[in-house]
Amino acid sequence: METRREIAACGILGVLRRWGAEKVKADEAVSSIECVRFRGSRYGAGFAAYNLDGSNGMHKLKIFIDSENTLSHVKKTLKTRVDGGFYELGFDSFSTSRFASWSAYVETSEEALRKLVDSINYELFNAGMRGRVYSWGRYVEVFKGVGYPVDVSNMYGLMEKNLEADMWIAHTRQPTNSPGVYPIWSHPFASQEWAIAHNGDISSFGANMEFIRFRGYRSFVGTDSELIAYLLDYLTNIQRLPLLQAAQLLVNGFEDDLDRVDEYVRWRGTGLDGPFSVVAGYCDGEDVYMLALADRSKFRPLVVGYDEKRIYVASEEAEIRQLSSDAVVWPVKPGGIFLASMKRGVVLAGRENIRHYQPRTVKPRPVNMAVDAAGLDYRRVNKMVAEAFAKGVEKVDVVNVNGHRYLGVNVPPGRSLNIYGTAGNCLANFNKGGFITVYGNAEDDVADAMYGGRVVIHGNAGDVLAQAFQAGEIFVRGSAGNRVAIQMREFRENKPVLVVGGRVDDYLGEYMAGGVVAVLGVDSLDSDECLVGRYVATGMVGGVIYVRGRVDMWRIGLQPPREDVKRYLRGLLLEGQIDQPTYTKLITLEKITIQDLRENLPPEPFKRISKLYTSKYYREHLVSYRRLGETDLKLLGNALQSFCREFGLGSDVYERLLEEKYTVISVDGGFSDMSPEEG
Amino acid sequence: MPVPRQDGPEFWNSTRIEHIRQLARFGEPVWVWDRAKYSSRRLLDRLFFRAELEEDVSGSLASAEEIDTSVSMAGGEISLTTPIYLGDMSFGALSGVPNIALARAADLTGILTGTGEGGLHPEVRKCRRITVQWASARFGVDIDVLNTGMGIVIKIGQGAKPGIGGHLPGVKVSRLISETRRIPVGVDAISPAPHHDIYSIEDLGQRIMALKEATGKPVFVKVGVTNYIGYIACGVARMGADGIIMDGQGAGTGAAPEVVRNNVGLPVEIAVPVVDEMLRREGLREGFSVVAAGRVSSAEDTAKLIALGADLVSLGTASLIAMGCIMVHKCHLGFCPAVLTNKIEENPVKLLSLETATKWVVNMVKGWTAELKLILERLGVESVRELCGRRDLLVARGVEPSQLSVMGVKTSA
Amino acid sequence: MAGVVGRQPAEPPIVSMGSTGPPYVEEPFFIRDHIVIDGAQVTRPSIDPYREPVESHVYLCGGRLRLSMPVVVKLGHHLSNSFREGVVRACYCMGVLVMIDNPTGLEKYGEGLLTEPAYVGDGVYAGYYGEPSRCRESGKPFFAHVGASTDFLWLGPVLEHVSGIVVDEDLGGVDDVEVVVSLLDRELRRHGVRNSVSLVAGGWSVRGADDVFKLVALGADAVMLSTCVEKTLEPLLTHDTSHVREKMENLLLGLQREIKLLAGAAGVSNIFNTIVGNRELLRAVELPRDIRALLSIKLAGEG
Repeated sequence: METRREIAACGILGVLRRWGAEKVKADEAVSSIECVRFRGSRYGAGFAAYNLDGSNGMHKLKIFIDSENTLSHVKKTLKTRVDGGFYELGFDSFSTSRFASWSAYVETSEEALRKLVDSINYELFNAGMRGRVYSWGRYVEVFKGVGYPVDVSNMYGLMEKNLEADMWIAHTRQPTNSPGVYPIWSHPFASQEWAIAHNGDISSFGANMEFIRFRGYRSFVGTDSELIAYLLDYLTNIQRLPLLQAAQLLVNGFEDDLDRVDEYVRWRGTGLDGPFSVVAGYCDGEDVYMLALADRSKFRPLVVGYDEKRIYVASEEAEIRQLSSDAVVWPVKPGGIFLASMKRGVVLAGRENIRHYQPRTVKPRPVNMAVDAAGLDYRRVNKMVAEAFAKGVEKVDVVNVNGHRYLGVNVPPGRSLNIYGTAGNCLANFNKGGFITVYGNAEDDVADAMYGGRVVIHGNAGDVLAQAFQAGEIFVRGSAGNRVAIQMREFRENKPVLVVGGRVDDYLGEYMAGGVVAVLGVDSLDSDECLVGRYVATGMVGGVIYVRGRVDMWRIGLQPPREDVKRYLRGLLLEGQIDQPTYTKLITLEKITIQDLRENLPPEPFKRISKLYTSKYYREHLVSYRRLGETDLKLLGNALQSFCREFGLGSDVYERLLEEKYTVISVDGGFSDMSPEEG
Repeated sequence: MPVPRQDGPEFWNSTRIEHIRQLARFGEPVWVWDRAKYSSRRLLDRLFFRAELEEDVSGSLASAEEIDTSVSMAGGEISLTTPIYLGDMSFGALSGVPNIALARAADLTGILTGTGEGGLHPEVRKCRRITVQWASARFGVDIDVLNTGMGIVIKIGQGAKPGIGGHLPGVKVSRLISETRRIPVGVDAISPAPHHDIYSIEDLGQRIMALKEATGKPVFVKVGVTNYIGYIACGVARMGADGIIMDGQGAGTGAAPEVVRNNVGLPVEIAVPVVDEMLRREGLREGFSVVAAGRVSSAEDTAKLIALGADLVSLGTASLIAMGCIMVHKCHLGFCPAVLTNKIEENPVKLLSLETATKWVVNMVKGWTAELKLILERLGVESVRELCGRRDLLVARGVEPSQLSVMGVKTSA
Repeated sequence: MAGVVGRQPAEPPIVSMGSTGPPYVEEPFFIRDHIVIDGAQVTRPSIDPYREPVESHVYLCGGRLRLSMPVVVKLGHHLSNSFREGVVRACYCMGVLVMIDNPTGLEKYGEGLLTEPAYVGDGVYAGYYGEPSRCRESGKPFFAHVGASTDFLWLGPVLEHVSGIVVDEDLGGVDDVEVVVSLLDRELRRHGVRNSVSLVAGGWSVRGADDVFKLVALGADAVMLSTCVEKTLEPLLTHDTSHVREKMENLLLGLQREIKLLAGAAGVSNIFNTIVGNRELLRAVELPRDIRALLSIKLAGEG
């Protein structure tokens, strides 16, 4: 039987208790994952529960089986192949599909069990998917099935039994094709003490399969998550690599960030490519670990956080807020690794500096006509808001918002919508004249294709803020994620303005064609930390970006791999086009930018090597580091003033911002100063 | 304009071009069975209706006039007189007059036309039977434009270049285009390869719902045909879209990297039955429209694709040929000899008459429909809706057997 | 072919209207003319290589050699010295290895050359290639140079001594290069040496970036260009070294850009990790079952 791909859409969650805090109840995991119900479907969900003290030393083997025949076959296999014997636990769920879940304690070594599970699964798969072993850990137990998370929880009686765990991994799933109606394809996927929930469709699937299929794993159901579970199991349990190294291999960093090429080549085929956000649980018998991985292009959402008692990983902030209104929450950076353990707390934060995501903000009380969003789905909330506006109400407040989507898509010009809580994805999309304020954070895709009006966010904004933003103002008090202000454009007198008070991640202003963006770092005015990620303004054709403080030149635009540039320089040296000192000087630079080359090379060799940096579609960035001049103030002055006023920042902050130096990025011949061109 | 002698191999050979021209000129059927297929390598050309091979004309139940060619989309919200959608070609890729002609022709014949990414020409905006395209660069769409058409098309990809964004070469970005798209003059307008808010199926669902929440319009999703087309179609259906436009390999484009155009993506005739079957199995087929696009060159192609499982077909290249395209493959340079895809100037020399162009497209649709009716008559099928999914009416000759079994079509026996 | 002709040097050619390529318009010549490449849509995003990074480099021989793209160029001895030098200089600068039977006069660029074992000791070379049995301990990578044949009996005895294999169609062989690549890739994996023994394949039949991409996805680490370089640069055979060098650099840069476009379209940002052997990115259009089984690729329309 050939392995078919299995592709789904998903929401993920991980909750880990801190050592000393009480265990996490099943109800809590269910209520948290249920608040992103719309990411999943009735076709599949699941949980993995970790308990360090829950082990009796034996492995708990759990299997989906389709018939008594299959069961007796499995029992026979267990009898003959398990040296320490097995203790039957029987069926542990009521079932809605062809498969029922059966479990047993098995006494055997890890290696023997891994082989046994593989051979049972291999046989059952080839016999036409008669069943599958889906959980066989000592500390972890998986509960999964067909239904929404709450249905699956009921199937196993997780809440009735008042089950508790040191850590929960949870998943809600939206499959694209029929195997989804069987629980076998639900997440989490486990291998030994690993359990994984994942969101995305990795393009490296075929390459990862080629890696793992000749290394003792023969049976696959075709999902990325199972593959990831096997990769982690293979690297950490069989190859004994440290957890962090395994995580680094999977995240597959860019070449310039590699420590050791030989190790990277040795494990080629373990790297994941394409979109993924993974939450993985692990227990080594000493401690319980929660690992989260974001792909290097940050194609999937991944937020993490903590409070005094717990540590969280989620697809959307709303899941965390559901459990903890005061948790500190931040997004994992592109290619970031988040690692926490029960005993050690947060070990790796998934990004360098999380304080940018804790802006000092105010939370006023609602004063206008209010819609209470608590317990309502977004359709209902949007309808109530639309009805209020239709009645002629000028200002509408929506309270208890937690992840509700599409708010502010229907605000008539000149009217106001105030949101209290965490605004869900797609806030203020297509806004054309409405005034929208969020007292709290906003998730991804704020103000896509906004053509006018105003959006004010008193917290952070997520990824893809202000895509194709074409007129109006957006102010964010805190920080924003990846791909901010991409494809911003302007038209005649309509110049959109975006001001971010904190910092932003990669691809700020990708393919920007107009408008003004400012990144201020108002809470870190005394620090010289760079406020933007990499690949700033790649493919920019117009507009202007102001970033307070110095932005390294290598962060601006797309750079060729350093190794390619070094090689070309060496070629120039061998040909006698450049001298040894110039060569040595350049190749010892940590990053070699086109500006470095221009400054150091004679015109002819520079012309030759510059083709690595440019293309037909390349426009040279104009970058300066300076105080704001008169033209800058004309573009930005008013916006800075209203930004400070809006967020109650004193005139001292405003004055300070005017005195600071900024990296100003634009391109030659941008739209704003374009002269009419003929032919 | 005479069709230039074609040196290299060409799908749109002179037989096909002449056929469409005759339809465009007279609005009458030219033939029943497509004669161009015998000189063509395409898989669809090696599929035959049993009726043609058996030459059994007596089985017809209704005369051609009584055959019902109408189809409906989005649960009846949109109905079309004939199963033809005029493909999504942008204002910029086409030079304005053809855009208007297509939109007017759709209004006149009661079908539907896509408008492509790049905003609406003011004259196109006045037409009713259009869809508005939401593409990765968002060129020329605001909430008012989105509310203009009968539906919204989210363009994820196109058959000529799946995975590559829209591309209007710099030579065609004139002052006028620069203003509608809000980008500098003379710079290639390359739309992002992906939608940066759609990295997964649930993201697509989010965008579909956002557009529906804001406009209440039907939403269709246009994709190129790629490896996981079955999953993609099911995903699109599950995410609440009203239909999918599947654009196959070989479909036309205004500009694409050659290496991508010639190597990426699958033929639509393979995808249609796979998608139809999978949607049915998942219980998602009802009320969901499957539009097949890419190298649809005749009424027989239309009938075969519908028999394979499509609801309607999209005509892009064919409608350009109706307006005078002679297939010189030079759209990206901005000096189209048939003045269809040339650079848009502020004061263009009006070489193409809007009235004539409109008439040609209207005639093509009429003639095409008439030929389709003749085919249905021979098949003994009374309506286009009944034809959908009738793979049993087809046989294949010289097609790799396992490929056929994927498609659920029998070999000739 | 990218990069040589036209007004924009090193830019992938832009064309319009429908494809005229094989198998449905032009006549298919090779197995790979029946193979199409995936485009990423909806389930995962594609990547625009002009605005976001797509890494085209590959490593050979456990990381001892690095190519900026999965391409190796082979130069025959019938070519003029000035032409050979132009090509070698371009490949050196562009980070592409050159297989050259006689490196005399080009020792300076030795780090960019693979040559015959006879020259061990004459200079510093990136590595050597030759018949499997001619493997010599030189401390440098050695590539077993074999024809396109699915008879791998020679492999077992030398596996421990070689750091790579070059399947060279120009040496003859009765089997399709696609089949040889796919089977050899699997064979190396079965021996557990896939990441230490590199697989380079190609020769006269390789025409451009599409062929490179497909052979890499079938299991090659890099693809060898021979005839296509000569044919593309033919008009320049009599020109001076720097002219040849410039055109060759453009050719390589153009190829690299086309490879990145294809990878990006498939939603891949790293060729070495993600594309090598990733048959899931390919589909066969009307290829018979037996050939598909040898290649381990699915049919168009299969999930």
